[in-house]
Amino acid sequence: MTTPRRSAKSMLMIGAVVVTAGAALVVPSSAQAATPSSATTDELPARLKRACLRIPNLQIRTDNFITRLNGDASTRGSLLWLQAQIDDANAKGRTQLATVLENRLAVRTQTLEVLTHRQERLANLIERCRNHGVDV
Amino acid sequence: MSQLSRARPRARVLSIFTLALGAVSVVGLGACTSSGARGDTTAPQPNVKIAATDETVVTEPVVTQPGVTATTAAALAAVADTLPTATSVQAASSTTAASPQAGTDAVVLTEAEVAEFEQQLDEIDQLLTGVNADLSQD
Repeated sequence: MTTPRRSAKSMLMIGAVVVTAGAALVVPSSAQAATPSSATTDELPARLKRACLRIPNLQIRTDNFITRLNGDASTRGSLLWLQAQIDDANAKGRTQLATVLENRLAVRTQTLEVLTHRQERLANLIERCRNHGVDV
Repeated sequence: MSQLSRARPRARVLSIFTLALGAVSVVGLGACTSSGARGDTTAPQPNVKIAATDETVVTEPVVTQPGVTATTAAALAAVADTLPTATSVQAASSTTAASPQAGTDAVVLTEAEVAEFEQQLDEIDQLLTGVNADLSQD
């Protein structure tokens, strides 16, 4: 036979279990309110549009650099101009300067290749913008 | 003995209170669920209700009343022409139920896609800045 004290204890335990269960059900729904998913989703079109609007200037800069690197020997910074500088340094016996310029030419040749790829990528990004309804 | 007799009613009151608290929380949750409240902090969007009834839109000629200009009556008639008919409303309703993106050709945007998009542009921007710095050495 259970004593009155034990019965009260068990009632208390049952009550605690019910409260805990209620809290467990309520807490997730309140946590859901703090989730900023809807705000993030709402701002996605604006973020995409902003990104798309950056593309034209990036294209202009890329095109300008490609044009400059592909320029003739009189265009400062072009591959041919750099080669002319290397030849001049070698002719004057300035071997260290020639080496520095040769290294620079090697980097710049790769830069031209990378820029050409980025130019294509920018064109693809513009296409993606149009697919999302953003005209660039 | 007297301590035991005092403790018993106090424990009973406490247990009843605890039970009542649990019941209230469960009932409160039930009320929240049934009302559809989710605790969103954003402004509530009005529910779009499209009444798909058999009623047709009245497009009777608008009688010009004293004080109402003919332009206003013509405008009312023009607006009446643009009102949806019961058939178009039903069609729109079924289309909306089928897919929320219907009606727009735009592809669904995701957070990952936009982030990747921005990252690509940042990378190109950084590259161009580097090229500019390299060219400025000459």
